Amino acid sequence: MRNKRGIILLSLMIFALALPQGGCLFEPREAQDPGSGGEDTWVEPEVPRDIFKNLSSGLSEPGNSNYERTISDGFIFVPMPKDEGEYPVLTGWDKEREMNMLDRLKSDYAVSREIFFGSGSENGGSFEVENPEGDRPSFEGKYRITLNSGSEEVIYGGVAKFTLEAVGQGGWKLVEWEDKDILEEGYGTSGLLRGRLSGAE
Amino acid sequence: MKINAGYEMGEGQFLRVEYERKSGDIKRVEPPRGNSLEILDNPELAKREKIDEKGEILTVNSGFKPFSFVTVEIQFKHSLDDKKYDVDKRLSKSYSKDNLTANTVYEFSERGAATFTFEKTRTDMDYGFNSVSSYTEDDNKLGFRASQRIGEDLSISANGRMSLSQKFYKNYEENPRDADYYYYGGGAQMSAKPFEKVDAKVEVKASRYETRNIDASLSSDNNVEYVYRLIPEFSIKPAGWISISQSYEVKMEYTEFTFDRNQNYLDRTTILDTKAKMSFQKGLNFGFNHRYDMRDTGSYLTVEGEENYNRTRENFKHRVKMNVDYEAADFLDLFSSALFRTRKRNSLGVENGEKVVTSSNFYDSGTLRVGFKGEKDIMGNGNIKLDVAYVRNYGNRISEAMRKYWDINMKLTFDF
Repeated sequence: MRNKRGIILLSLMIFALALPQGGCLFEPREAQDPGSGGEDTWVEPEVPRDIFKNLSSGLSEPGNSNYERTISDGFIFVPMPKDEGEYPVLTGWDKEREMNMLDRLKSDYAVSREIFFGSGSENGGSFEVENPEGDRPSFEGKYRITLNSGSEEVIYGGVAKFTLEAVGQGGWKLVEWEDKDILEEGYGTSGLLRGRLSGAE
Repeated sequence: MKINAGYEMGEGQFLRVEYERKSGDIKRVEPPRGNSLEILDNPELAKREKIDEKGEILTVNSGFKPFSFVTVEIQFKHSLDDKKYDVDKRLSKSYSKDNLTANTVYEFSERGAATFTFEKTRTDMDYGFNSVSSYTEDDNKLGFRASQRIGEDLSISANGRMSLSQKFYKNYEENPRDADYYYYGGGAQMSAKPFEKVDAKVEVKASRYETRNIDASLSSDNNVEYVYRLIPEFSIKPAGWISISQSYEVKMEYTEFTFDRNQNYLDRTTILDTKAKMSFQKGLNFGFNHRYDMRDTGSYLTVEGEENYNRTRENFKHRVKMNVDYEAADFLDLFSSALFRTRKRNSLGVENGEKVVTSSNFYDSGTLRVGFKGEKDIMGNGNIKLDVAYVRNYGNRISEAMRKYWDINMKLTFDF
């Protein structure tokens, strides 16, 4: 009996070790060498509001890493109740859904994508309500997203509260984006954009 | 429609099949997308929508025991969810998923078992002709977990996981976002009781996660994230009235960009947590906790073949908490606690070829809390809970209203 157990354990371990070596199942594809361009340089977030520069470049550029590095693993999006009623997929929105949404957004609006946070001349420079101190600083103010698919240009916007936390690489990450209000009549919020891009549930 | 069928041949040996199918359509009036309030001014913008829905789920579960100490379970699941919108076609979505999972549990000794899991999934996401976002995704996962208990005082466990997720966009020419996500990692844990009054635990974890964009337009973003973590922990109880525990955690997160090495960065965390509990006499307890947290971040660059760590920021945090609780009576506890926190944050740079602190800020704060809490049954069918505390906070970011206040909570309950 003891021999039988040993043979089985050995077989299972060989199977587990051999499977990845087999190549086909666990071998990623070769990547092409990068062409010209690439992503905007990462801005080291010296102060909390610097994250808005990385969110903006992470949305505009084809690559996702600036955006991905800027949002916390525990990131949540809190929609406005009417948006959540329209798109139940917004309930329990986390980082994984945010990154999937970003992929689809960049596919559907391949020509250009811009996001501007706050008001004033600098992206993320000025908000209506600012609490920049402490381990969970927050900023509340306007944002405006302009997307171009080649055949149409659409604008989304709203008023949101952005809460940050002092963890992870670079010092600051976005942990919560809470939509609070519409920007003005006629504009959909980021919640509607997220819902539409994630498809009806 | 739902169909279930199954066959069992004793413990752990079975075959079950379930099939569920649904189809139908929904007709409804949709308000304009973007801003629902528009419909009040322009009711003609509302659209009469028709949604054709189709879905099915097929699940096949089987299990068998080739030996008394080996259990094998295999599950196949196919699911389909299809929604077609007649008017707002962009909302259309067809989603199908096929998943095969094999799970083997092997009891290699009376007090030890190993589990091997293999999972293969294919997902097809189709957003219709209007979108170039449709893709298929292949997902392969392999997992291993084993544990063994040796005697009464030692247990060892180990685990490992490997996964590869590959995304293939259907319109690659227009949307070259194909990407592979490759992960492998593992860990081990050991718990022991080396001496009668000492417990010890060590945990080690390591993982590697690679994001590999295939096309040249995105591959400059390719990177590998490494995480290493070591957590030794021990507790000692030299006498019945005192216990001391200490845990230490070292964590290193390192991201390496495959092509653009100027973006590499490193994040290191060291935590030391010490706790002590003492009970000098019945009803009188004293607690102490100190936590030290050090984190530094920066870039890790390769210059002429040599790796240089360029630190840009360091954070030091200390937190000390002390508390005394005294059980004055069955229904009354007196308590007091004090919390002190300090944080120092340095930004680092180079001046005249030397690493210097370019800016620094220091913050300290604290809380003192003194009071009593109690709970007592009253008048046969009632209960009263009372929690009264006087609180003082200090720190340069504490508002005037929060510097000192009374915190009083009372709960009165009667059953009728």
